[in-house]
Amino acid sequence: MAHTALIDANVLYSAPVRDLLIELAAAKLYRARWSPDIHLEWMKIARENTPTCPPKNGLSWRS
Amino acid sequence: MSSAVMQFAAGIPDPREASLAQASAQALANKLASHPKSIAIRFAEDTREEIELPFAAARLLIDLLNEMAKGNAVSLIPTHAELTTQQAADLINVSRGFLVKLLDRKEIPHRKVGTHRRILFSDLKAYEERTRKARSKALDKLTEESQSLGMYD
Repeated sequence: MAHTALIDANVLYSAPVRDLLIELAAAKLYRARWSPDIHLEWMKIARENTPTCPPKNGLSWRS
Repeated sequence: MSSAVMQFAAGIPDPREASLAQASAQALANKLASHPKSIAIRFAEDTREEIELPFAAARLLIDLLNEMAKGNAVSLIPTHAELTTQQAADLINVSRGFLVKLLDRKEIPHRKVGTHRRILFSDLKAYEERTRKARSKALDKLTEESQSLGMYD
């Protein structure tokens, strides 16, 4: 059984790191988990730090 | 896994087995390419006797050897096998609780044996493939958006 890792907002925020970790999880090397709150947090920071980011883009939480 | 799931499991191959698997997979694939109907195998000790394998089985054998060559343990589960909720959860890397939720939301079909739920392996695989496609699509979209927003710079 693969290990489970909680991915925090700062990791999801970094696009290259996030890509790598999600691809590794998709390859079933470990189980990546994050909460709706963590997801909202990284998107909030991304919006604040990216002037060109539309107020509400396609990156929405899917339950 | 319980006896309800017929399972043929080989342990993790050691380096010698892995390199042997790589060589035999390659040889078998070459043979199969030139004799695409069935394949006969002969044992080293007794060259007179041949055993013929169906083409599909030979293909499967190549896949198995390739996995062993990579150092992976392999188990075969027939598509009609019925799994318990715990077995199904383990196979798709989720908790049992989450799997039960998927059954309740009818995202994966199941039947009840008394009070126990049973899931067809083929139904589980179909769900996994569906979510894999959706995930891959979402990740592509995410990468695209991140790129256009300069988040890789």
